[in-house]
Amino acid sequence: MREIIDILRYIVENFILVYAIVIVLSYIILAVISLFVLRSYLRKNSYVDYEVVLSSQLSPSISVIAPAYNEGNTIIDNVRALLSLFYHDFEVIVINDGSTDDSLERVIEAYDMEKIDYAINYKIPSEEVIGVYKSRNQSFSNLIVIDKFNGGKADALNAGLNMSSNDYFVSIDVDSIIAHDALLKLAKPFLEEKERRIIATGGVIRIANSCEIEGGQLIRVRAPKQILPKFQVLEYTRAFLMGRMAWSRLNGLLIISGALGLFDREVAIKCGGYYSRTVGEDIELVVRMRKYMSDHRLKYKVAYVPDPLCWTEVPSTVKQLGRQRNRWVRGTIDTLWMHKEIFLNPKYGRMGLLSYPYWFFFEWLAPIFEFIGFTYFILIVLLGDPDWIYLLVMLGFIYVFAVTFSTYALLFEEMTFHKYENRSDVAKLLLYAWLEPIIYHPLVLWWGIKGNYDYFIARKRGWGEMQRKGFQHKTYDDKATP
Amino acid sequence: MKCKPNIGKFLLIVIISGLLPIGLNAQKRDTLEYRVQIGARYGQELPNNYFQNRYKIDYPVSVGRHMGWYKYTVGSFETRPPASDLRRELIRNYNVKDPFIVRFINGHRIPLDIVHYKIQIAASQGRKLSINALKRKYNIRQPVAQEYDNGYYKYVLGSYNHYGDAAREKNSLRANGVRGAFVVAYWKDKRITHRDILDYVIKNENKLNTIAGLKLTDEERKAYKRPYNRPGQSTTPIYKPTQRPAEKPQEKPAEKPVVRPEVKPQEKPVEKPVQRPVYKPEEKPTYEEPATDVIVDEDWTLAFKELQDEERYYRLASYYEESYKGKSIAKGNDLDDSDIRVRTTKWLDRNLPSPLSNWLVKIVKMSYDSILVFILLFAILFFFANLIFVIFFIFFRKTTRKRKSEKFVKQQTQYQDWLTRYIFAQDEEQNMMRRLQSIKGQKNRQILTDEILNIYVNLTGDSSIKLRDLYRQLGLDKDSIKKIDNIDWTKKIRAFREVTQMDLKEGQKKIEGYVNSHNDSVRMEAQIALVRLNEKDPFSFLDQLREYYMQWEQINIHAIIKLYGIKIPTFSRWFDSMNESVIMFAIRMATIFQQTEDYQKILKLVEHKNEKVRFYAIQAVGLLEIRDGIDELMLGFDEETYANQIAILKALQNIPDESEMEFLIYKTYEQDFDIQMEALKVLYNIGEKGQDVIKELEKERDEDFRIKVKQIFDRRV
Repeated sequence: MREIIDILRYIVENFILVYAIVIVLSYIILAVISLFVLRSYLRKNSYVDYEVVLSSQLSPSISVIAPAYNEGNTIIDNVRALLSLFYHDFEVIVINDGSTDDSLERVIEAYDMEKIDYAINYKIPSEEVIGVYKSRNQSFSNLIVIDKFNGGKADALNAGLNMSSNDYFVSIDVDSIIAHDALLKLAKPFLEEKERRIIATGGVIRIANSCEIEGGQLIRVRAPKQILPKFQVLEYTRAFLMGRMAWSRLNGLLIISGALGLFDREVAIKCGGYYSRTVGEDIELVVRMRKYMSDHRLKYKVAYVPDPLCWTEVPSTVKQLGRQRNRWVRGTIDTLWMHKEIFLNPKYGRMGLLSYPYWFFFEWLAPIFEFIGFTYFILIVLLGDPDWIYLLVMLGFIYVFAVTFSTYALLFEEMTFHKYENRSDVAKLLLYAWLEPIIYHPLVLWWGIKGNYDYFIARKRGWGEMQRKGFQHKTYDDKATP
Repeated sequence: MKCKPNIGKFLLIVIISGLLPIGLNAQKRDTLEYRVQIGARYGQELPNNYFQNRYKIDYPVSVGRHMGWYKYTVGSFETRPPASDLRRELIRNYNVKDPFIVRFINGHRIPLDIVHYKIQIAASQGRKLSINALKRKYNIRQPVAQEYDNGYYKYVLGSYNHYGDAAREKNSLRANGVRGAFVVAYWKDKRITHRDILDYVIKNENKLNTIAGLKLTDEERKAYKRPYNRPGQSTTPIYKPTQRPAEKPQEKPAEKPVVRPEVKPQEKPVEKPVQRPVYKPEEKPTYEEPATDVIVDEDWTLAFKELQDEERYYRLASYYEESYKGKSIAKGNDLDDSDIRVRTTKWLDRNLPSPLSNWLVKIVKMSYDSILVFILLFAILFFFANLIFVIFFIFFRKTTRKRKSEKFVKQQTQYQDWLTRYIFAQDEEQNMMRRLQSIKGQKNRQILTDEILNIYVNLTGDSSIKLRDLYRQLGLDKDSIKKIDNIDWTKKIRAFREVTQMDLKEGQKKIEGYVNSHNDSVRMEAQIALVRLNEKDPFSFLDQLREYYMQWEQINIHAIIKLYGIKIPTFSRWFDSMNESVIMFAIRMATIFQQTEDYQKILKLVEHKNEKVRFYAIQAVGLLEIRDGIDELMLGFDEETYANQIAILKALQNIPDESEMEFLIYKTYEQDFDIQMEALKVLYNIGEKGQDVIKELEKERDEDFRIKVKQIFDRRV
């Protein structure tokens, strides 16, 4: 009996050690790759005149698809911001996803819209469309509003996709702030495609809490005043500048945030559009598009643009954040489960051999292993006599590594886009990097476990509902999904 | 979504770190203990507090029984260095005679590394013997081992900790006919001789005397002086050490356990000279390693009588070991003595408050015991230092960036000022010229070049010529040309732009070399430059282009054409290019610039093997309204890909013709929504006749069709 326990312990402990080493190394490797990619991206694009895209008939056409659900308070400003994006050939398709407030009426009134006869081709499934609206005013000729029965964000996006007839489409959160030149920058990777087809381009999501915003435009960037968003700034910066950048270079990017992404419409439709029965429709779509390309033996790439193009408000209370994280976790599990045949399947190239396993082991399983490890640790402390010196040294290492990593993320930001002008903002964020492993991380771990519990044991697979601050009605809570 | 916070994994590691130590603990590490022996007595215990009284020490003395001896030790350490410290202290401060370090593993007394003995029964030069045959020949039951050394195969048996035991066995072997049997000594699995030990002892006699109170006996000394032969080097191939001096008292295998009990303080009164040489711990005993193969032979036996006493022998062996260590042959954590670790621990002990220093000392010790802890400690320090540096660097960057850009703007406006004054203020021309000429340094000249270019764009006529002359006079043109071949591609691009802007024809040839560069940016900038520089044939680079012609490049060239009014060639020239991406560009440009002259060639491309080329050709037929192509489009329809079918219908919308009606009506019956829709649109465009047909069709079709028709007639869409 004792021997069996010893053997078990030996296996568990060695496995965890290897796991930890692989994680730390993968972070370092990804960060180093990101550094090089960022550098070459910035060097290359400092010589680029994006405006040429505006002047040429050769540039492709884009549809901006913005699902809206009970956004009545902000929708007019948001639509105006979308219409004022820089691009020569684009349309804005706003989908009113069965709002219970007066969103639709407000838009109709503000933009002088009228219902038109339109035959919808339901190429991909979506709830029935009640009406299609266009403006009588010629200056809003590129605005289309679709009124449909409620079906969730993915369903609304599908309706927009059915309506769109352009080469590419952008999916956005209607309440995010999109930079003027977002379309130009997102489109560039498509224009640079050679033999390998670009199927999607993702953009960076930045945090807009406490920033000065006027009429749907960002005036001044500030670090969030609340505590949780500050931690999220660190988290997002790490994820986008140090992780995604490298994954795109490795052509292993699995997720394009639902808040901003440009997709090849043809591929998206051929592979069936958004899947409306998952809470993680953004990651799911990218995985499915990639799978479609691999299944048809087509060369492809998912590109990524590090410029801060999309600013969004993130949850600032524990409750909202918990719900958001819970959903992300369930969405990840859902996607991984739905496409399990990709796992270590050489047919899917890097996605099968690298990204999917990475997500499987380090995105999905990490909180679980961590939790098991924690429980195990408590047991040992209670039953045995742990070696406190090793513990101290290890703890010290992990802590310092975590802080260093966040600090480097801020350094990357400073070296690239330096959006935080105030020194005090940067100082605050640097300080929070020291607090994050102690305060923020345990929360995130807990939500990760809760998400797994909800998915596997409570079997919650649908959308959680969320009340956004200052809003009378429920809205989508999808926001930036980094 | 689900960028699962990376920190998640970090903390995971934190937890793991909690587990690891436990895990390492679980791997049962031996407990090591070092003590200092200060005395021993055979058969009988010493009175209580005997040593305390004798040496005036106040360490607790513990006693242990070992093979009939009562052994007295002080101190207890996990590693050897502090034990050494204590030993020295005992010698120096308390005049303890002969203290030495003993080692316990899991409570068992284990000599530091004991010398042991084997018996060699045969040897053979270069040829292996059969062990079984050997055993049979001599009727030996024990296992026999083969060793190889310096050309000899040697056959040995047994392993004895005492020379006496080995000698007895050897004698009995000889009696049984193994005539060449003799005893060999080993230390750390390596053959040595007692002479090796003796050599060392004799050379360091004084020191040993000082440290340990060891004195050689006369016999030992005599043995040392005797000429020494090395039988291993003799040539006898099989067995037998050659010189065995006449049967000496070899049956004196020193059986009697101990003639002389361990140094008894009382028995050896204060004979010793009072002034002892000052002990210097740094002084390492020097010791020449003996030749590898030496055999202990009978005539040494006597000499080593003393050594066969376990304690004395053991002590000598341990010094021998230390002498080896001095040459850093013996390695291992517990042997490391005088290093940073000791110094660090001491420093910590002295300079930090005790609970903290205790922890730190433990950590330092463990870092020596476990490579993992060592690496982690190193990583912590590394990351921490790194972290602090990065934090400072971030703030440093923040400050300097602002300052730098301010300085830069200042410099820019200064140059701008000089330049405009040079151009427009006649009286200041000379003065300004001098100032401009005084600008030195690559960076400054680059800024000046940029300023000249900036101003040049907005100038016309005489002043622009004047500025261009200035540019040449200052030699900036040469800089630009030279920069074309810079390794840094961003500089190359700058050079291209300068050369183009200033219209330096001499740069054209050089730039042409970059038309097929693998660097997308360089390639594109080279094209842009050539389109402007090459006035005769601006687009000739398309002939040479082998790389895929990206849309991004196409868009840029298009923009340049419009911006600078570049002379547009007949694009049909590239309709049969080897590079399909160039064909696509050519068709699209021909479409945009309404080049209908070569429409026959476009029609040919409608049958091109590349789907995309066909797509653009179909589009061109529509946009250029090539009515001759209608039949061709309709004929090819069924074989086309879906995307191109839609393209054909869209093209037909631009060239509606009654001749298409039948084809289109047929298409409205297609299952596909978009094809129906596009066909209806063409019908609508044909005019009244087409619209009448739609209305006819509507009557016999379903609701879905009616909605489509509604949309077609709703012109607001």
